[in-house]
Amino acid sequence: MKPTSTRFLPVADAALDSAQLQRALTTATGRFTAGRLAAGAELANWQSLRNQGRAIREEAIHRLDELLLLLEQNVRAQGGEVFWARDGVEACTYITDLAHRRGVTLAVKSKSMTTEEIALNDALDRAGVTPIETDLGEYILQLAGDTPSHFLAPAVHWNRDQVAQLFVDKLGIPWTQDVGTLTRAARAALRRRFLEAGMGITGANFGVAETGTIVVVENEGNVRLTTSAPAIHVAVMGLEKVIPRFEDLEVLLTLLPRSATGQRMSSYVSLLNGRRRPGEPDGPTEFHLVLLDNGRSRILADPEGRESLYCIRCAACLAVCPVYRRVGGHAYGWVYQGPIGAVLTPQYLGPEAGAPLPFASSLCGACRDACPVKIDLPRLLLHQRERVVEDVVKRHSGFGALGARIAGWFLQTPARFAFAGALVRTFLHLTGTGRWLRNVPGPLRGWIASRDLPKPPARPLRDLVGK
Amino acid sequence: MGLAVLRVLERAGHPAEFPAGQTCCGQPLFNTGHRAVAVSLARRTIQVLQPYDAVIVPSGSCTAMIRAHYASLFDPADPARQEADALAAKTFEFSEFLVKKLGLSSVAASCPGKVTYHEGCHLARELGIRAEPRALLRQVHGAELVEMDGVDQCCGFGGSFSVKYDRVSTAMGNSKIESIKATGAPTVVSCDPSCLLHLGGLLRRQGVAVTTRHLAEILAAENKP
Amino acid sequence: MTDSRTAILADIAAALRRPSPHHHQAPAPPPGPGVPIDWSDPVGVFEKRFTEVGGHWHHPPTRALVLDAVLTIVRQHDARAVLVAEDRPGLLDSLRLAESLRQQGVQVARRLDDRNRADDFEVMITGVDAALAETGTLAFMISPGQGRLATIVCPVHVVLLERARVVRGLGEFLTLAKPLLASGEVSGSFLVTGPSRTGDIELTLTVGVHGPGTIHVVLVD
Repeated sequence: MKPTSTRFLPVADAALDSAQLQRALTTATGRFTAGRLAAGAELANWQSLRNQGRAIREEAIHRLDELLLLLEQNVRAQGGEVFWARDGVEACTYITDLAHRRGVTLAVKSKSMTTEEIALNDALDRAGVTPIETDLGEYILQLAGDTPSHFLAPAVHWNRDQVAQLFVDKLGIPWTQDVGTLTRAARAALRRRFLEAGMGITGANFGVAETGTIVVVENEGNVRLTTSAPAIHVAVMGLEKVIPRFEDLEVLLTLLPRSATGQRMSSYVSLLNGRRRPGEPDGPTEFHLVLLDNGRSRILADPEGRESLYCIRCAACLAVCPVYRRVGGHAYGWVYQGPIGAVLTPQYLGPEAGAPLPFASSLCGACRDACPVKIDLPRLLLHQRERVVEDVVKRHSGFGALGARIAGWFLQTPARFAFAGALVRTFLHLTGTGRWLRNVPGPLRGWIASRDLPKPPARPLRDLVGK
Repeated sequence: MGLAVLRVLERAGHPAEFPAGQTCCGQPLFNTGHRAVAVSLARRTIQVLQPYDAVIVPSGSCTAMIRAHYASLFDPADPARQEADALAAKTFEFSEFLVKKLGLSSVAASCPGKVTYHEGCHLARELGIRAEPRALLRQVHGAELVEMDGVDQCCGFGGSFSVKYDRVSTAMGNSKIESIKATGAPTVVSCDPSCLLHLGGLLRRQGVAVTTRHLAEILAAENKP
Repeated sequence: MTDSRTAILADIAAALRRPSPHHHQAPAPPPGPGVPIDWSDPVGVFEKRFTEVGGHWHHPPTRALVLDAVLTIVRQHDARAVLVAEDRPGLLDSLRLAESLRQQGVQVARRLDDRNRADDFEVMITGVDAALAETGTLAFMISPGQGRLATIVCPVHVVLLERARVVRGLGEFLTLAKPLLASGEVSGSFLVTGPSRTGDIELTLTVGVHGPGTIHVVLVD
C-alpha cells in the first residue's frame, strides 16, 4: 500500500464533509465499543486477563530471538518451510518465486494487514499470479481498487448501494439492496476461486513457539477454505506475533474476540500445524511460514517505542478514538489506522512520512483504557511526537523548534512570562472592545474559525495576589 | 478563576499562596514533542514549588503533567527525578484536595438550578478523579447535578490539536455541546480551564445559552439565604 | 536466505540489549474466575451459549431417536446429497448413520473425493472432538477420516455431540489438543462458534458467507 499519511488533513476534511461516512463511522465504532464493553463486563476477571495478556506479549517481545528460533524449529520438525524476510521485497520475492516454481497462477488470500504492508498483491500481479482477496470486505475493495479503512471491517466506508452497483458492474448480478443476496453473490464468485487456486495466503494472529502452531482468527470461513483447498499454504507473519506457550492462547483468544467484535469467540479459529499428514484426505501438501521483519527489529531497538509491538490488532483503540471516529481510516494513509496506526506508521515509514499522525490526537487516553494488552498509547504518541520534532522539524525547517525555544525562553522566568502575558494582553485588547474575540490573525486562525476567544483579564492573577 | 480558588481555600480554613515565581508546568511543550524545553520548565517548577507542603492545581491536565509525567522527564540517576517524585506526592488537583485532604463535607456556596459536569480526560483517566468534583457539586446549595451522555468522551481540546486539527477538534466539541444541551442545564462545570475555554468558545460562537464555570467559581459563590 | 535469518537474529539480539523502562517483568497473577457459571450442568451451559450464537440444538430422548432427528434435519433442508464424515471416534459408524440415510433415499458420500463437486452436498454430518461450554464452541481435530473441508464446505453442518465431550472452556480444550498438535500427530484443529458470519456490508450481520450458514448440534446420550 502506497503511504499517503502526509495528506492527513485534506483526507480528514473530506471525511468530515461526508454525511454518509460520518453515519457509517458512528454506527460501526459505537457497535464495536458497546460489544467490547459488554463482553468484557461479563467476565469478572477481565482486568486480570488484560494484565496477563500484557505479560504474555511483554515476555514474547523480550524473548523474541529465542522464541522465533523455537518456532522455526517446531515448524520445520512438522515438515513446514520457514523463510526469514528482512523486508517486503524479500518476502514478496520468496512467495512469487515459490508460485513460479510450482506453476501457480492463481492465489486466494485471507485478510492480512501484514500482506498489505508489503504490497504483496502488487508483487503477485507483476509476477503473473492473480491474487484474489476472499474476505468479503477485502473482496469489495479489491474489485473497486480501493484500500481498507479499518482492521476488522475494511470496507466500513462503503454502503450497500455502492456495493450493489459494484457487483452489478463486476459480477453481472441484478441490482439489489439486500445484503444477504450481495453476500451470496460474493460467495458464489469466490467459491470457484478457492477450488482453482494453487496457493492460499493468510496472515497469522499468533505463532506458538512451543508447538509450531499458527493461529488464524476469522468469522467468514474464508481462512478455513484458504488453508484447506489449495495445495500450498503460505502464512505471512510479522515476527512480533510469536507467543511462548500453547496455554497462552487461553488468555489471548479470550481477549482478542471480545475486544475486537464483542464476540465470546470468533466464528472460526484455525490452529494450524503445517501440511497435511499421511492419511488426511485434504489440506495443503506444502506449508511455508514467512517471518517478516520489515522494520520490526528497528522498533524493538527503541526501548521507548518497543511497546507498540505488543499489539494484537483487535482495533478496540480505533473504535474508542474520537479522532478515528470522525476522520475514518483513510486519513491515516497507510495499513494501520487509529491510535495504534498513528504510532506504528511513523515507526515503519519514518517520522517524515508519518509526521502528522502522532499529532492527530487529543491525547484523551480512551485508547489506553480500551487496549486488551494495556499498551500505553498516549505515551507512545508523545514519544513519536518527540521523534518527529527531532527528525523532521529541526532538519527541514527548524521553524517549529525555534518557536518552542522562544516559548521556552518566555516561560523560563516570571518576569519574561509576565512580559509575554502583557504583550498578548495588549495585542488582544487592541483588537477591539468587548470581552470576546471573533477574529484573530496568525497562529490562532484554526481556533477562531469555529470558536470565540475570551480576552484575558485586564490584570493577571500574579499582579493581584502574587507573593 | 484563580481568585475563586484562593477564596474557597481560605473559606475552608486553609489559606494558600500564589507563588509569583511560577510560570508554566511545561505540558504544552511536552505534549508537542519539545521535550528539552519541557524538562527545563519542569526543573523550574520543581524548584519554585519546593518550599511548600502541598501544591493545589486548579487544572486536571496540569496536575496530571506533574503527577504522571514529570518523573519520566528525568533519568533515574538525576537528582531531579527524586524531587519530581516528591513534588508529585504533594501535588493535588483542586477538588481532590478539598475532598481527600481537607475532608470537606459541606460548602457554603449556592447555585440554584441544573448544572452538568464535564470530566477532563487527564483528570479522569490519568488521575482517576471522578467522584470528588461531583461530590462537591452535590453539596452546592440549590444545585442539581445532571449527568450528560458520553461524559467520558473527550471534548476535543487537546492543546495544539485544537488549532492544528481544528475541524476534528470542533467536531468533537460539537458532540459534547449536544450532550450538554440535552441535559437542559444552563451551566457546565469543569475542573479544567482549557476544556472550558474550548467549550465556551464554541458555545458562544453558536449562540448557545450555556455558561462555562470552573468548579472553584461555583464553590466561591456565596450562599446568600 | 541464511543471510536474512542471521541478520534479523543479530538485529533482534542487539535491540534486546537495550533494556526498556516500560517492561514490567513481574509475572502477572493468573486470572481469577471468569463468568460466574453454574457448572452442575455443563451440557446445559453449552446449549445456552451455542444457541446464543445462532446454533440449533436438538436433544433426542434416546440414542435410538438420534437417526430420526438427523433425518428430520436433512429433510428440513431439502438435502438430496449429504456428506457423512468418517469421524475418528467412530460415533457415526456406531450409529450406522450413513446406511440409515441411504435407506431413506438420501445420497451419501463418506469422503469428498472430487472437491469440485463439493457444492453438490447441502449437508455435512460430522462428530466433534470437544464442545466448549463457556463460549458455545465446537472443536474439531483434523483426522484421516474427517479432514479440513468436511467441517466447512457445505451450507449446513450437523454435529453429533456425545455428552462426555463437553468441557468447560478454552483452557480444558487446549490441554486436550496440545499433545496432538505438538507431537505432529494431526495437522491442525478448528474452533467453530456458530455459523459463518460477516458484517462487512454496513455491519449487517449475514450468515453463511464462506462456511455453513446453519449449524445443528444433536446431543447423543
